[in-house]
Amino acid sequence: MRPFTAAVITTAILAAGIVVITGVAGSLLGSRSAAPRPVLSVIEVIETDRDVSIIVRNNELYTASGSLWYTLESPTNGEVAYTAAPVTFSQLTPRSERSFSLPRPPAEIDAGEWVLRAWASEQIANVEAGTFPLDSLTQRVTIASDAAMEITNAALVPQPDGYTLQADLRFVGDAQAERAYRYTLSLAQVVRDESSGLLLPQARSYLSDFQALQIGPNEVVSTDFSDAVTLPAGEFTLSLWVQLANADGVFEHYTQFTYGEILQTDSSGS
Amino acid sequence: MTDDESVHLRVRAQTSQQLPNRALPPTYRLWLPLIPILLAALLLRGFSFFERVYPTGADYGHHLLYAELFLTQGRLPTAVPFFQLGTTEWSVLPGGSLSYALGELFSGTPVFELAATTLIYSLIETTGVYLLAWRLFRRLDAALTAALLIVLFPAGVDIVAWSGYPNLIALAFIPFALIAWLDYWHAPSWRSLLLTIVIVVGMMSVHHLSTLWMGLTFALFAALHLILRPYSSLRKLIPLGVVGVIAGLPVVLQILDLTAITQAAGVLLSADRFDDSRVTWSIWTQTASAVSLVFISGGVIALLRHRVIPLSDRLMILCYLVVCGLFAFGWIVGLRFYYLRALFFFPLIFALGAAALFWLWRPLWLRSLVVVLVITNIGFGSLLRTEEVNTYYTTLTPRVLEGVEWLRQYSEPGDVVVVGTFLGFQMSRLLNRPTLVALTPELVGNPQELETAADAVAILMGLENMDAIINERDVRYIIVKANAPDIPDAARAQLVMDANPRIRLLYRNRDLLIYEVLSS
Repeated sequence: MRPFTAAVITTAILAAGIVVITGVAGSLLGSRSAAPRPVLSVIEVIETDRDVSIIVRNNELYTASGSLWYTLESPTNGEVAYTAAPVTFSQLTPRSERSFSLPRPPAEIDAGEWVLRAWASEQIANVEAGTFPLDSLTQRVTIASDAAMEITNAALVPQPDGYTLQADLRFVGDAQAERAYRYTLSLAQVVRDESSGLLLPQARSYLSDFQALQIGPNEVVSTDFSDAVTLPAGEFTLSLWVQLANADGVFEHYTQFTYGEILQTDSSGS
Repeated sequence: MTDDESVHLRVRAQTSQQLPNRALPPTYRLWLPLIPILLAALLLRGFSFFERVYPTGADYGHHLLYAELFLTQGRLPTAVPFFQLGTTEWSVLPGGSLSYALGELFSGTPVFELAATTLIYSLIETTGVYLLAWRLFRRLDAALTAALLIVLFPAGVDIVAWSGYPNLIALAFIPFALIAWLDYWHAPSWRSLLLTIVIVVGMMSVHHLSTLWMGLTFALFAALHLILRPYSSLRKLIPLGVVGVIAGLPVVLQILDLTAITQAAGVLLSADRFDDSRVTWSIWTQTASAVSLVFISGGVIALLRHRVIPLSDRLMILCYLVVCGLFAFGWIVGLRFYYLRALFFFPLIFALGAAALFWLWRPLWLRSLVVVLVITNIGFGSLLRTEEVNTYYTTLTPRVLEGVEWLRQYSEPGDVVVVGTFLGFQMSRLLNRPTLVALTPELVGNPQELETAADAVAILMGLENMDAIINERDVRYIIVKANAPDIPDAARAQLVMDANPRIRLLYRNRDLLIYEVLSS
């Protein structure tokens, strides 16, 4: 083969190869431009039944400290519904990765699809976190309806002198120890705003007596609730309020769960 | 006469008959066309010296300080005064700096005012590439093309802007080292042997990486020839080795000393701090231009298949290319290196490859058109790059000097000062105070500096051990550049200083901020 032919063919092959490879897989020798890089990168987010695990990488050649947290955002409008308490860390050695376990979202978070965004921020001495670029990694997660305390089924059964509120309740005990709880159910009337179509809560129409409950670690307790109620005609939301006994034996608010369906009464129900 | 030489002469004779214009031109025809190219080299690379009040780049602070210390002390300096608290040794070869010292001795001009004489080496490099291309191709057009391209590649502009003077000086002599070696190889004589030794040893006394480069290139060349023609190769290599070691003993000792200081073997095989300096396409296009891919592929193949060029010459170019590739992409074979540095050695290959490729276009008008288009493309790229890199690497300004002089008068001689990379190399001579210079690990050539450099980085970046290091190192002042760029990031350093209750702003102008550490 003549040198000219060899050179031209080689050049053509290389030029074509570069175009094809870079077109398909990005640049040949690395990035086309040096993209600014955060000191800490969120490498992976793993959401499990027990926790939210976040893996963070230190991209720099110095030992870094920082904090990380996650938010739950609405997949439709991006509104942040929950921000987890940040976890701080130090001594993350150069170019190393570390996994951190954060608590799952609380039971108040509605079941369904969410965007879980994990954030990492380098801690700079005396400087507020987040002043410099943060890194985040998003992942769509489904928060299952296995809230720790919930109403699984509810109905208002008409009676000659009113209604009977019937509800199936489910409680999941704390993972650490046996605890004392008490709960109550409430009904609040709602009215539908004609202009916006929203259901607006009005005054509470019913509040049950507190019921005591003792639940062991991770124990699941299902119970039926039934009580006679007198209600005007209209639409009602049913809420479960749970309180937890603190170390002094005083009950404090623990969680609240609102049943997902509207309960209705009619004018002939009394 | 050896076989390959006779073949070479025969081919030359044949080609001369085919191409009458290949006859050696009169001397003025050889040198006259080079003059405008040399002027272009002066203008393009001189931008760094003529456009700014002070030359750009941080490194010249140390290159020229070495020369000044040599003149003051009357011997090669060992420790770097004040730099990293004065705890580190010079990890450089003396050749480049001594050439500036000679300049001061002969002219009486202070060495720091001689920085612009670096441009002489740009002229030497251009001339060397011109002569090397002439030697290989025996064609004026090929030689002119190679010389013009070596001037125009952005790498030359880059290296001047960051003031990598020893590297530039060594690069300037590499073509002459190759020519001398090949001349000796083809026609061994005492005269050519001595000339080769003088040029090669001289080139190797300037810049440690360039020395490594050419040492490996020559070793590879020798090894290949020992395989191909053991007996005749040994007859040439033994005198070269013996005389070379004797004549170059001071340089060899310097290299051994430098190897020990920098723990070169360990760094090359195990350091992981250079990973971030891997060659990216972006860096390649900025430093070497995109079209260089054509020269390093088709151009090099054309050159290596160019039967008019003797086999030994082609092998030498191939060996140099292999070494360039080895260091540019060394991570593939586990070699640890500041990979970007390799891009400054490639242009010689690009220029020769381009000359070989252009020569293949037979019609003169087509060849001229291709050359003009390529040169325009690379030339405009370099012109744009010149302004960009010179702005980027501007370190000293009148306001910086004013601020430093203020601190020198305000502070006490033993006060420890922390400063970033860009100003750090200048402070040793300007401030005369022990400094902690913040260098990120990939910028540290001498491992002795790793700890102190990391401490300075921790202070300027506000890492969690910032206050502990300030106490431990007894830091009194911190200098921060008022504007980007700097390493570490100047904006972050300002924020860290402003947020720290122990630190107060003492002095500021538009280019410089000086903070004081309050007693705890």
